[in-house]
Amino acid sequence: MDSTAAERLVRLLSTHQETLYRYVFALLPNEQDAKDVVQETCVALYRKLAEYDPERPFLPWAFRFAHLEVLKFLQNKKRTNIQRSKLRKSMTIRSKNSLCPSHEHGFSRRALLQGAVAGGTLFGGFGRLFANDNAALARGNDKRVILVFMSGGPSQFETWDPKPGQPTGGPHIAIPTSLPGVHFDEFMPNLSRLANRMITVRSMTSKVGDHDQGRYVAQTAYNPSTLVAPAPHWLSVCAHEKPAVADGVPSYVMLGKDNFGSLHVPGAGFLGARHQALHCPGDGAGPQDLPVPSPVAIEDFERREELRRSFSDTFAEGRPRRLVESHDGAFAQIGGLLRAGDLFDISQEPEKDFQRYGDSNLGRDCILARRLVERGVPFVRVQHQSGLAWDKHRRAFQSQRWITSEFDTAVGALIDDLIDRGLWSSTLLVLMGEFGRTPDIQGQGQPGRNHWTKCWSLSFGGCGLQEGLVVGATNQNGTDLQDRPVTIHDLFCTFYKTLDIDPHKDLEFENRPIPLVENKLGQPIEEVF
Amino acid sequence: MCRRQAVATVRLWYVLFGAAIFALATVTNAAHPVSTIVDDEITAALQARKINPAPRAGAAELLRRIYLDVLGRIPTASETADYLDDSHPDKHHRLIDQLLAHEEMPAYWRTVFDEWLNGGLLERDFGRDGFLDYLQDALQSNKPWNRLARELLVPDLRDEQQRRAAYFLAVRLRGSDNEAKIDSMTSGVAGAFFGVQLQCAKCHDHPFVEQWKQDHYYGLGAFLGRTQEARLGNTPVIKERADGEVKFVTTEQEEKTAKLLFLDDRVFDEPEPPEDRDQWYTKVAGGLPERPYFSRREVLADYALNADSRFFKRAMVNRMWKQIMGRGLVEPVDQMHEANPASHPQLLDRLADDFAANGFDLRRLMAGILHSETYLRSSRWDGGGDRPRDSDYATAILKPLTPDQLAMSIGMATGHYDSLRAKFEREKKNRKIAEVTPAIARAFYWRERDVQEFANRFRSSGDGFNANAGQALFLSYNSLMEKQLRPAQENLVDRLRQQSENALAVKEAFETVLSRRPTAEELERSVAFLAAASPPRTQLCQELVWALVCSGEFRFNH
Repeated sequence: MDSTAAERLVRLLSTHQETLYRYVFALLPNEQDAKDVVQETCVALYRKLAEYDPERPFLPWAFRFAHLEVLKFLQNKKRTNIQRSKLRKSMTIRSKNSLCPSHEHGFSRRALLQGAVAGGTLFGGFGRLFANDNAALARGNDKRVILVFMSGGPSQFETWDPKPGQPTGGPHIAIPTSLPGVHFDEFMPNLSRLANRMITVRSMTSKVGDHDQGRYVAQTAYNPSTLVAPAPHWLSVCAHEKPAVADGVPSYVMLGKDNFGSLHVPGAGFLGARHQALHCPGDGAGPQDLPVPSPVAIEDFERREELRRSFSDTFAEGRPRRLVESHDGAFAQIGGLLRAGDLFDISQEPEKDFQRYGDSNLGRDCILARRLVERGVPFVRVQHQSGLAWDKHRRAFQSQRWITSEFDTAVGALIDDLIDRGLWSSTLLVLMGEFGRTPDIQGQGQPGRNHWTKCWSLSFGGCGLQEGLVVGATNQNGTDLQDRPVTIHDLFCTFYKTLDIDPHKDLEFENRPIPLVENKLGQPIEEVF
Repeated sequence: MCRRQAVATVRLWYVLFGAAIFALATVTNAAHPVSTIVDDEITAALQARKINPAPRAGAAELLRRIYLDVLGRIPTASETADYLDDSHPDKHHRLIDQLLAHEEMPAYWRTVFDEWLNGGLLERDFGRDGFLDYLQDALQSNKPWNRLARELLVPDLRDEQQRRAAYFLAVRLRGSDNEAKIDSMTSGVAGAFFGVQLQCAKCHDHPFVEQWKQDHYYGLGAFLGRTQEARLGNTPVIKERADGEVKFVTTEQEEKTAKLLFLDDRVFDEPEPPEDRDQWYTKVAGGLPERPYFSRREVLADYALNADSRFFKRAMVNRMWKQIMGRGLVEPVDQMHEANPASHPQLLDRLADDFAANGFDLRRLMAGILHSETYLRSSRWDGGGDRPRDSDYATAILKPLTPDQLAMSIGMATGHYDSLRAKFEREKKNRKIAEVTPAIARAFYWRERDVQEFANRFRSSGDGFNANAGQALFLSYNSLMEKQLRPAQENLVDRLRQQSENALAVKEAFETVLSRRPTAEELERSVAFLAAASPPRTQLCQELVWALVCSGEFRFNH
């Protein structure tokens, strides 16, 4: 073993040690045991480092060792005391000193102590450690949603429903998750680790295989051609039903570029602009053109807004209310934003979070999403890259890994933080795209997968739902559903029920009742409650 | 027969019970047969629903509406004064005819057509200027729609003017993905010429529209699939291969070769190719692309772009109606199929037949709609009870200014447009033009980067009006807007701050921005606003202009 290889391991471990620890802890929820296994894993990694291919991501590789070490540990524990050789001991001490930065250790130890004090629940133990005052504010709004939308249609084979070894499986391998017997894609180490906190649906089935229409259905619960009224985005419905409690704080914020070519995100539909998302351009930035809030800015705005409003009011007489209100509402919102101060300023978030979430637009948007829900914004939609990033028709296996890793890093850190900050039990996190991808790997030379609606996957969790559940299954090679089909309508019934909104409630538009879910279709997935 | 009888009965019915408003309409519009069709059908439908339509809009309202609809901008302060001081009772009809013949009209409508034809496309710079010029020339000469459409689909490359039209298909052939190119051409042609969207029928038979099968999608694709991009000098053009099939896989996993099938189920046969491959193509002089022995696109153009083609004539009538009236007779405009009937099916058919029978005359169609009493109604509803639905056309529909109209109109109101026109004047030599005509100034202004960026902030691909805080923030704080409110070169804010008489300043602001005079109450309120001790007067003048430009009245074409 040459010294540069050892150095490389030191670097990799110091970057990933916390994640590795969390992975082991997920499988083995006991502080001391988990620490022991991490040490054993470090030794194993050190020995096998020559086999590591630096082209591939480190964590999935490391997790395989960790997984084996956990199994070994459990077997040993059954039989007798654990024996350790002197060599191993000295090795682990060395690795401990040099590999693990003190603040990381401080973190996990404090976290676990807190857990022990809190009563040693399996996982809640991590909680509250970093909870700050804002979390209390957020709790005033009893339930929150963060939707991370994977535009373009993520492949179920390369995310939550891998089929390694099958002709449909593709070149990726599958890694074990914290749920026994359940495997995810190798580029999702964090989501694999957190599988026991989430619900994974492997039996989504839908009908529309066109991007624009598909994402319309997947975000409104309405098929575009059956409309009697322009359907609102489901988060606009949420904003309508459960608006933000805090004054001036928007009810629904959308992070990331909202359109790409002819594709777009459904707006507030017939609910009108008041329930529309406030757009932020992405990469962790707040709304464009919002000035630095100050008393002078507020005063200037209010003076001219009063005059503007008076002109608008004269015009509004006898004219369609919805349109004029929509226009005026947009200006009224500025006042709220000026008063909301540094709501969007992620530069106030700790430096090390930016590393944990990954150096990506999505990472910074997830930090902003966290900041927003902590400060009372109940509904946040995060766009993962603009437009069609997950739409891998061609060259899928050259580029899939990057987008999946970026997604996994950011979303994994977000889940960790929601748990740590005590928001998990009241925040519904939804990870989905508009459809899945074909089992056939198509195309010549540089293959990919096309659109597929028959059976696909997504994941959601938090908000007091069951944890560590896999709903439904596809057959052996992923070409068809095997168990428990879930429709888009079922999915929305589930989301609304989670948020204590009656999924079959009617809203009103032009004196007609419009149900939240098209034709009152669908049933909540009962097993998740 | 039956339908005619029905129409006759309806006519008789309202001749007997006819409203006074209609009587007025027939007197003033006797000259325009299209307006008669419009008012005929709309009034019959209103009476069937027992709705009394709103009265005709006031002079200032009509002035602004006609300018926005025909020239895509608000009137200038002097155009406003001229019109408001004109006492002729028919002045709005005269204004409509005058503006339809205005030289800015083609300069504006070319952007409307470009948006209809190519709205959702990305990366379309190469060849776009030539294409816009082509559209402008076509509108200037009032080229019939069937000829224009034919030139878009099968441009005669020997004609240098027509060559620029090839952009319509050429722009859809960029990129490397063959399937995506065919998709882009198919949806472009289906939407622009036939008012249908078939994307759903691509992967499987359309889930909601029985009419559309996969065969239709790929059938239309088969007419276009042999088209390839070429280049002549600086113009992107197209050429056609003599072989190549469009293939697709059905939901039953059966592979099919697409037939030459049009939307109405008509199938075309293709002659056997010559045995001698050398005869597959004919050389064309002047370095133009070779011609195949058989052109599939020509078959489509011959069959589908003429007066017998129901899809073709209805699609343009519906789009034009929507552009001017604010709502399509069929909505959405690219969903014209059996499962989605028109709000006034007879009106659509009659207008379409008239359009086809009169040589697809675009300007005649525009004029007919504009001169109708239906178009001239007030957008205000004081009729008691709920406001009728937009699809009743009992009132004028509020139309949000399009992004281009908004950017242009704000520029006109603040004086930004004038300052740039002065700049174009100074740059005449560099820009190689003899004279900055109104049409040229419009085209230059529209092309300015700042103006494009301004307009882009208001573009959304979705239909319908969705004001958002982002746009309000832009109008309140972005430098592209703040710049226009900074006093400079006799612009509006500069003139206002130099006007010591507040009442005159307020009047000027209203006439310039809202194209009308302030009411007594507005005058009083605005004068009081300007009279405040702080902030400084310049800032107060800026805020007054901002408040007018950002009012609901300015944001909508009403």
